[in-house]
Amino acid sequence: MKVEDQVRSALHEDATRYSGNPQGPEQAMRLGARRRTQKQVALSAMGTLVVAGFVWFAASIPGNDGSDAAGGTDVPAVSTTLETVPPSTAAPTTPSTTVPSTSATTEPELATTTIPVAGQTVQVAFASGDGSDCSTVDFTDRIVAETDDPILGAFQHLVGGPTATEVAGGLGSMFSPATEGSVLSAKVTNGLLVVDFTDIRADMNNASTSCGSAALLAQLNATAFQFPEVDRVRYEIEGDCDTFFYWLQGECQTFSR
Amino acid sequence: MTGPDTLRVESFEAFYRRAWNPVHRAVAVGTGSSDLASDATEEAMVRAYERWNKVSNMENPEGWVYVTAINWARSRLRRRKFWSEAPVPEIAVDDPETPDPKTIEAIRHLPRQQREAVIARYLLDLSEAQMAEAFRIPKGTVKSRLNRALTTLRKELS
Repeated sequence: MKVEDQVRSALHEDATRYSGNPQGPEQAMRLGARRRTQKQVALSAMGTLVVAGFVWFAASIPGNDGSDAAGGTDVPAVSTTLETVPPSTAAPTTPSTTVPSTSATTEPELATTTIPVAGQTVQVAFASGDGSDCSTVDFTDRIVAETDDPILGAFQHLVGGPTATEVAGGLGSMFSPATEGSVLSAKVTNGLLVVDFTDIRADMNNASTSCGSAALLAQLNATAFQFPEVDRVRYEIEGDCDTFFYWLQGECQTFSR
Repeated sequence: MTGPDTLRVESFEAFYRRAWNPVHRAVAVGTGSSDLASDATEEAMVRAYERWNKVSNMENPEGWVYVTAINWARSRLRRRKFWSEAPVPEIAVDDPETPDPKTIEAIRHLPRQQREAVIARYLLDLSEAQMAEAFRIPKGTVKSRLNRALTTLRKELS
């Protein structure tokens, strides 16, 4: 008997021993519909925050007081928005102790740089620039508790995405609240850092485009290589490097400094 | 309920009734636990409905639900391991009675990815292309996992 037939037969026989009690499609549909609605509400709230951040940022540009001084006649939308949404109400309500000044002439500050929490400062890299180079990143600070692993902490902050204030300040990322908590582990062995993610693919639809994957890898690598003990880095989804890189339309690989 | 909604509900109901048992059994054979497989299959079905527009257009939605269920089961076992002082095996065997214990044991001792591939191929009867879609890996990787698994099983069972 061929081994394939033996395996097939053993599996089918073994499977007959198991019988479950399906709860029925109604239950699955009820829960599925509820989760979908919750996700839509969360996304909508996020969108509102981003818009609010943009309005606040626009208001903070010197000279952008509703007159033509900020950009002549080709940016009437900003002026109109500023009239209807005062900057003071549009400031993002991030858990920051440095709520941006409502003064229209103050540059926005990154929300997390002055959080008075005892801990170690790590940096996370998010996409920046004008879009001409997809792999351009800028760093922003995050605080990791003194007792926590800084590398794991940095990646946990990274997958939470930039704050609304940071987005308004020009940072961007495909990481967002939807991918928060998606780092399973980040371990260094002999200089090789392996970062294992949950299956984040459904929450990051654009990552498989060439610009998307360049941006994603740039953020990951820049965050990884801030740590001197990391010489090389590899990424996995549920413990599988092939899965991660196939998603990005490549093959499993390890990056060096 | 409007027309498209009715269709959506009907197609999911039919899928659920058709796919629940095969997926449950595949997960149960792989994990050795019917209870864990039930929870995992229910959760995967909820996720399937959540994304039904996308999942229903796949060549083989059962494959997607199977992979989602085994991923969920694995993280459940990992969490149990984390919270438990006693070591929890990757496979949570409830019932030792198996018609062909030697073959099933050999399958269960395969590396996880190979074991999942063998079950998808020989129990769920997914084609290599369907497996590549469900596991979201290249077809070549599916082939090599299956080949490596069969080589090991040939050696073990000879």
